[in-house]
Amino acid sequence: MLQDLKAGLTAPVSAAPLAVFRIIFGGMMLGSIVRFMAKGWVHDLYVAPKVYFPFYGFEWVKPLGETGMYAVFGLMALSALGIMLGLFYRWSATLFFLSFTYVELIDKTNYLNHYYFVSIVALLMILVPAHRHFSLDVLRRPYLWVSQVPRWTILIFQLQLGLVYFYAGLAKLNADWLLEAMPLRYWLPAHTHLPLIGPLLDEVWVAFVFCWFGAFYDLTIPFFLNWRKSRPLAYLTVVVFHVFTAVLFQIGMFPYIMMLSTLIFFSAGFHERILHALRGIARVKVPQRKAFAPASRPAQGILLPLLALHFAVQVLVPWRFLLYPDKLFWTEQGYRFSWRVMLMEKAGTAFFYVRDPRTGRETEIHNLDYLTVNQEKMMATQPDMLLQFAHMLRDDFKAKGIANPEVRAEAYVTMNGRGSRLLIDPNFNLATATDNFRHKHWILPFESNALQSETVGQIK
Amino acid sequence: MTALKNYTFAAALACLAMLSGCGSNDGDSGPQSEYDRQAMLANYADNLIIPGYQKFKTEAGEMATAVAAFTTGPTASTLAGARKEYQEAYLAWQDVSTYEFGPADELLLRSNLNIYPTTTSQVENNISSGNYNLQTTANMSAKGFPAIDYLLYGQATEAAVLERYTTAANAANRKKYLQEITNLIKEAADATHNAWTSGNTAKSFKETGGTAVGSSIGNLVNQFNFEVDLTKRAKVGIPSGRFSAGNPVPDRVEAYYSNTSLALLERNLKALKATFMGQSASGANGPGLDDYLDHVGAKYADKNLSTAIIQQFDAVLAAVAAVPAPLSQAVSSNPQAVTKVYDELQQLIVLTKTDMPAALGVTITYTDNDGD
Repeated sequence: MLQDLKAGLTAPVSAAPLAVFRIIFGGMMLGSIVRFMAKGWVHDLYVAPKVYFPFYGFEWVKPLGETGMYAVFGLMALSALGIMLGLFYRWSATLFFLSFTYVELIDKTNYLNHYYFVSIVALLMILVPAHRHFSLDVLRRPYLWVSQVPRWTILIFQLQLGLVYFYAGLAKLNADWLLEAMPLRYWLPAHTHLPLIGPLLDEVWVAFVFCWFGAFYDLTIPFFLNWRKSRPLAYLTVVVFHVFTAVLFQIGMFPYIMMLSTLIFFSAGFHERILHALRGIARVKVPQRKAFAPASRPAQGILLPLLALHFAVQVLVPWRFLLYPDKLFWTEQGYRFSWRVMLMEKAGTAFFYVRDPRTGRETEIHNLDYLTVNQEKMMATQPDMLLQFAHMLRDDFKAKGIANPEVRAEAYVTMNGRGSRLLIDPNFNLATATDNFRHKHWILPFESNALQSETVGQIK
Repeated sequence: MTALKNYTFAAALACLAMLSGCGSNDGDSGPQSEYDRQAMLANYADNLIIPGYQKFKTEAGEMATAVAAFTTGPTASTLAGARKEYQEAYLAWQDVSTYEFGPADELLLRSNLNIYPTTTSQVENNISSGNYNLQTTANMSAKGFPAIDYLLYGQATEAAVLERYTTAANAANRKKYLQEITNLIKEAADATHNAWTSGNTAKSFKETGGTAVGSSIGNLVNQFNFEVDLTKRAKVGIPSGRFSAGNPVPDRVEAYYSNTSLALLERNLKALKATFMGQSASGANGPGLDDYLDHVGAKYADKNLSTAIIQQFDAVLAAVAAVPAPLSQAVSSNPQAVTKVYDELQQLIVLTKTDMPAALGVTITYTDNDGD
């Protein structure tokens, strides 16, 4: 059976879908990077901040300063161009994966599920011979040319996309989303100024339709895209769905990336017609023979189990939240890397206090003395970031000569329309707590945590 | 294909049927009725912002005239006139300082008009040298209301202040400097009012819908919170020692020399409350952020969020009223009363900066950014 599976995975299929996917992915990335740089975000997010919030275990990842960061983005853009053109492809794909992932690891403030998705796809791109069909590498070295590639090289992208949608759909199966239409009930009325659909967005039933349709769409679209008969209608739905999200939410390139990436579900014939059209523009001819990418046996033998492992991890990681107590949306323990997109409205305000145990005197912190507005906003609702900021304050006050500063935070958070309440124990000394994957016991339980009638304020 | 169509259609129908069921027994927490956001923006522009700047312009003009009378003939009487008009203009500024978007943002009104404490050494250096450029960043804390406060009240007695403008060395330079920084305020007030009444500002404010970055509601809510934070931190927190290990810093209060900090604070809070409610100076309560919150059904505990915010404004105002003037002394002599003001402000900002923007779908940010 395993042999059958392997035969199925390595069977030759047209290389056209992979080549088109390579062009689309490289092109979208190039566009995204140029947009990112044009908006001045390289400076705003990776040069201007005084401090950064690295991921747990990646504290050694640091930004490279103004020149360095622009150089990284320059390289990233070049490598995206290399992917698109299929030029020095494996180098380009590797360089793109490394530079993109490096930048994402610098500061979790900027974590977006679609950046994570890009990193994964970039990693997968390194492994496939996407440059051996309709590429500059083939033009340079014609012997590279193939018309067919092993089926798994296309399957992995379909599977990854399918997982993203399916898990995004699963995440929507919660009471707030389905029974309260939260947070869309709060988000949609913000767009009533839009022509045509605007007035409808004020209606609660519209929010419910969006919620239920969104969940249904995410859960089923991979299957409908995969099934030849439903594919055209399903793709139309993809376009309509993502155009809606692009209009309604500030989610940058994500809708366009998804709209174009899902073309990978289309048939080989469809992609061959695209390449045929491109060949017409580029005035190149396709050889009239067949060639199959010779799978170097040992490499493929290692690669397939590794890919199986990758997808096993992908399937399991979104469930890790089950290992933690209390409501996931509240504690956010196990929230990231799980395709939970546009799922909750969470906002917070955090007040930090540093106390010198020798004098007993306490000083309140003006967060913006250390953080950017965006960092402060993201930090206020996420316990691991609250802890990181507390440690930055601890270290800063130590440097100022206070031997064992105590740091505590009064963080008020509102989630999906529930009145703001304390997120963590305001009297807990964060300075001595360490970050790890264990449950953060100083997070206050969600339900029993009644609204505060008085601020905790400073220790008198 | 047909089968799929039928299936989708049936599923859609089933969903709709279920939803209409949900909708009917859910009436109390959802949007109440049509809410006219354009009318709300028009109310802000026509009944709060423009009249606010009109009043500020008038008061700044009267201040400039009174200061001119004083610098031409410095007497006890002209000094009293200048002080009176200065105080009225400073109060009028509190009404509009929250609207730091559009023209006010371009003119950097907060930074140009109200950086305190004023750097008295910088003011004195400018006066004695007679050579300065008031547009530089270094001079931001050497002009505006805080510098006028120092120049009109900076000596122990009225006679000592007068002496500075009559017989003291550099008296001529001092008069010139006072007049110039006063005129700068007048010019800024005129320019802002002018932009709101003659340019495209009011029209585009009324027409820029949505709540995204750069929308009118987005600007209003963000600057409202910026102001609440500034009030909490600069007007109360810093002088009371919250940011300096509990050691009060009396000379960091607003209007330190004239001892009018509490009056300015009260005016500022009343203006913020009126802004929240969409209430004009005449007391007419038009459509405002409170009504918008009611419209989206925002709740806090067992009451409307709007009610909770208004009650919290009243709690802050009551705490302010309980602080004995001047604030610069109260921070040391009556710290409990000042702490009470601060704690109430803390509670207010949690509601306005956390619950309110979340309910309105407003992002607390000053730059454009992607989310997911």
